[in-house]
Amino acid sequence: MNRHNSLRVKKSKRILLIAFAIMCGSVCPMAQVGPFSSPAHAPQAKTQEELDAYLQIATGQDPNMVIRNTETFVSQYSQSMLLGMAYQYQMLAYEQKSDFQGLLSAGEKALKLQPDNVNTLLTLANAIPNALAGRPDSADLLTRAQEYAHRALRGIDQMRIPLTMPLERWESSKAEMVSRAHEAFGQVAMKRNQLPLAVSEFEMAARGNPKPRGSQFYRLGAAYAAIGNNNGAVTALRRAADLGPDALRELAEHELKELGGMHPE
Amino acid sequence: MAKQKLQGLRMSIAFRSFRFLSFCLIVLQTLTESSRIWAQTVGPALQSNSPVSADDQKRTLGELMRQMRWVEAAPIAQALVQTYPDDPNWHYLLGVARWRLEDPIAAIQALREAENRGMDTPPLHKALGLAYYSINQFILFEMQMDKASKLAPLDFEPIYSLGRYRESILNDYSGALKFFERATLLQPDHSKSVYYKGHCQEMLDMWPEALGTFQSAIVLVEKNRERFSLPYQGMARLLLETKTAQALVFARKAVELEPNLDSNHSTLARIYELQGKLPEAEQQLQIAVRLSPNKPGNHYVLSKLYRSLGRTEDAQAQLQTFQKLKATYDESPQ
Repeated sequence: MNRHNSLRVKKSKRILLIAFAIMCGSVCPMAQVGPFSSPAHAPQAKTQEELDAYLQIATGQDPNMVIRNTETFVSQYSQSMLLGMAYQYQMLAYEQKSDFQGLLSAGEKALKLQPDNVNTLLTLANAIPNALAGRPDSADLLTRAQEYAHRALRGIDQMRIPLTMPLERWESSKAEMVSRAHEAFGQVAMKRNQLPLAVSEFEMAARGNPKPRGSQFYRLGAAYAAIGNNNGAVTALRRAADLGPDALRELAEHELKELGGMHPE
Repeated sequence: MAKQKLQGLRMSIAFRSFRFLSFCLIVLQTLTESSRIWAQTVGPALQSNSPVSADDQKRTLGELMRQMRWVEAAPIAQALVQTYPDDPNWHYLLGVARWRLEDPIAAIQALREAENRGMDTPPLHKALGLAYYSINQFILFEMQMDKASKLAPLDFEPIYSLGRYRESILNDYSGALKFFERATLLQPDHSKSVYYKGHCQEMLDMWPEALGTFQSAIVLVEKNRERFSLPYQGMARLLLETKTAQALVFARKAVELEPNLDSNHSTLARIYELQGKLPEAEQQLQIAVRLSPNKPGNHYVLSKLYRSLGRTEDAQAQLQTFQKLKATYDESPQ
């Protein structure tokens, strides 16, 4: 799953970079909502050095460096308007390292500065349910994840995009983001053992995503299996195995074997 | 109501993409620069342990940049940066290539490397300023343009860029007007500076002055044989209510010069509508909608026109599209 995680983080980072370049003035599905959608209100670096330091974070490849550079940035430019975006990069770096506590801390700092940032909200909402094992505050965290997903949906609805972005592209990106919000709802429901609700949310996530994702079909398959719908589970897991990536394919194939010896076609 | 419509039309012109003009400016700048780049790259060889191969690279880079083959130029510039890491010239050229490849962040990083190595030239500051502009870093953009202007006080380009920023992003028309006045003093035959000076006058309700300025811009466009339609469109906007027949001539000329500019068609449509030529107005609005399908305003005007023609279903469809787009798109300056 780490490789899959890393791919997702890379994708989110790319989106953030584009968002910056555009929030910033051109086109981006994840363009920041509210005040950042208009160039006149884009967060401004006050000095070249501040922007240099920020770009070092934004273009960093090594998650450890990104985390360190963000800390340096925070200490040197504590009043920077770019702080919220820097924390987002730090959150993604922690996600890449599978460091949940770091992700939660960076994500929540980002949200304090940019409360409606859909990218942060979706990352947190999807990460929290995966990292509850052994935590005494798991019930609180699940409530927070659910709230983040709700806020993300509201944020997506309020997003205004640049005129240069074709409507079809926006609708596809929007559906992708909505799908991620439903995935988070599904995960929260699974953890709360609300299985029919989980199935319904994962169905919306997997089938509503214009760019089908193996992980979403895998979760749907697991939810079907949990309510005893083996046919549904097999179909969803086969789709997950088809979509991959490799690590997920192995997991899906393993689950298919567990489901009464059924082998993927 | 008519004044509001006119105001809306003027605002939409005001919001026209500065990106395109920035692009034009950098093209102009890079073209001008390419001869200097060429001189640099074929000039005295820099210190190197493998002078033959490095000299070959320099020659090739110069040739590629002259031919504007940026995809091939960028890796060679990168290689030269690695060979001569302390030489700001190669960082600068790498920045230019990356900018032309529409990678503003990488361009900024390379141009900053050049600046940190002591380069302090107007082309560097202009390129860096425009790269900052493209990622909406306006404070830094202004700083760079100020530096360029101080180093080359007779160069109109930084002044023009600062004017465009004030006009299109801040909508500070009186502030922008001062910059365009300075730009036109420095470069009297730059039709765009003259046009935008007129546009600011128009937005400040200085219509008689604006008319004269647009007229001057038209003289320049014709003298320079440019395909720049906005002065004609400006004349059409100012005359459409009082001298509709004259406005029509200008609007048609604007369409002829830049047929892919939706606002030229919507201006022409407005004049046809005033003349009661509704089918012609419809045709022009349909072209405007086709050229800029995401602009809510064009659909709204078309909806009103259909209503006047009694085509209620078409009017309703356009109104729905307008409402959908209005709820989706951010129409602030981009």
